[in-house]
Amino acid sequence: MILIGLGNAFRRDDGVGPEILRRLPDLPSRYCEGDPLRLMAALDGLERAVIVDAVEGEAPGRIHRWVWPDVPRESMRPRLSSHGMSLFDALRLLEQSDRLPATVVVYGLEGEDFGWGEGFSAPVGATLSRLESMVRGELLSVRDSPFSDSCYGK
Amino acid sequence: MSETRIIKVEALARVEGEGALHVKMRGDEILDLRFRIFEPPRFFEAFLQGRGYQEVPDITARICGICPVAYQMSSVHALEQALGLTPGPEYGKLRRLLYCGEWIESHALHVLMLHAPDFFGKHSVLELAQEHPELVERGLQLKKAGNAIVHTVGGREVHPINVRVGGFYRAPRKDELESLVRPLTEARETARTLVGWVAGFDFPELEIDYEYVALSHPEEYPMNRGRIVSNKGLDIAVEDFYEHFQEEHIEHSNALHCRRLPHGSTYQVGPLARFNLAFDKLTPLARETALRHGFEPPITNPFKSIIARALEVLHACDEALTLIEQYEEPPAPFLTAPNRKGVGHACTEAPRGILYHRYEVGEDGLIEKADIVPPTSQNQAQIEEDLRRLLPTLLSETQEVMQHRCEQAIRNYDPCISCATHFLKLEIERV
Repeated sequence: MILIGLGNAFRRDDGVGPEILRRLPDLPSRYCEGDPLRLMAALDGLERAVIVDAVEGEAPGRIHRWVWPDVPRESMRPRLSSHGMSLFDALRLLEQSDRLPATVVVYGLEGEDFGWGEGFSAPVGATLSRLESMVRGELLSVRDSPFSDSCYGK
Repeated sequence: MSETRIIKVEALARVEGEGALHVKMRGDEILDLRFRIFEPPRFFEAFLQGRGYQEVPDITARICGICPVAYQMSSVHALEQALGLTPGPEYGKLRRLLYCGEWIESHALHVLMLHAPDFFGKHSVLELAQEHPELVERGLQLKKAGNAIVHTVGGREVHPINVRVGGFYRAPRKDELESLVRPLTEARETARTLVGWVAGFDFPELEIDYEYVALSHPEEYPMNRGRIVSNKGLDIAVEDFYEHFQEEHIEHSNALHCRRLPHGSTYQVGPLARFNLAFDKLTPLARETALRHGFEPPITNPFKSIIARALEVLHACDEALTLIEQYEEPPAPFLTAPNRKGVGHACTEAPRGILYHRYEVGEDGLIEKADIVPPTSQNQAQIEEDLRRLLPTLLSETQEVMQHRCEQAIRNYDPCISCATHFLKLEIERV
């Protein structure tokens, strides 16, 4: 089980992924920025993964929880993973090759400001603690549970 | 009456950054061709002014998430020259090993995930992987091998932090490097297979009499040191860069175009330039593999850059194994020198081509002036020139084929718009 944070900490709300990693230093994690192969390599060989990313949407601050394969293709901003390959495409590519972890949960936090700079917009900043708590719960529930995938619910 | 046709593509995929290509044609005449880069400039050179020289490698590494090592390498070499520091060959070899890791990672991404789909008429690697599922395994294996080098020598996978002016913050132990031998040995075999695979692609016909520009060193394949040379007679010290190259602002681009003086001609940097100018410096294995597949200089078809890139993955795996075998931990992880006023220049070979840095350092050790010329800025004018040569050969093709071929031609250069400043929407208008 691993926590993966995606995004660029210098592009305002895009920095949700690295911020959650920073808040959860006691959990096994990897930071991925830009290169889609890096994300794929980080997931390769794992049983379970939780991915945190910023997404575009109409309600900044809203948290989504998706379980693969029910990850929407369109709402993940392509530039979060550069070179035009989206998170969805990277996951699908691994799945096609039978290398995708059995369980992949994606937390998406809708952002408002993806401009240059550090810090978060007000609605995103106000939601980070809740997202942190949900992600921690997600990881601990699996780590401490004798059960496997059913812990996630669908 | 000429036919009026308009082609629009929302975004050119599989390149790094944001920009656009606009082409206007009447019949077979190109009225306008603009490779626009509208990603805002990021002012790194200005950020560096007033910062301590030791901060520079870590700040410039942030220019690119794909090739941060290149920025670290050019900056430390330039600053060491300014300070009069000359780290010995053991540091040079360790830096070369780190650079091999970056070449493997960067080239594997471009060859397998970004460029290969073009040669099968696919729109994405997802489509290509359905027919060639082995490419994902190859990509992951190469990625992990390159990643392991960068992590072990550079201190972490993304934006490595172990490089400093004078050497490294911490020199890796021999046993740490030896842990890389197995994945690199496997990656080398994968790279050899990769060269054969891409060499068998069908390549569009286009031959251009390029001026190829790369570093040249009598003992090694271009990477961290040497003179700047070309196949057209250029042979200069790095310090003389601005006497032979000029950056100019182009209205339609936020990235500066760099051209050759005195005539303002275009030139190409990157894997094909290195391959053509330093074929004899490839490792014997890489050279033999190239020859086995009929790939030998001069190569003037830009679409074959994918072979040169795959070959450099093989070279980097092979050389990395030799460097690990020969590695001896340096007596100290880094050298130091007192502050002094000075000017330093350096050029190293980023995966996409030569990356020039120049710094003026004050007596207080603070940066007074910084100049950075990334490879995509240098290739940008040549990319436009390639398209001018390519488009007349495509007039009988459908809009879709024409458009796709243009995108493929741009991807020949693996343009990194984040570095140059950033990339791409494509629009072809026929009037």
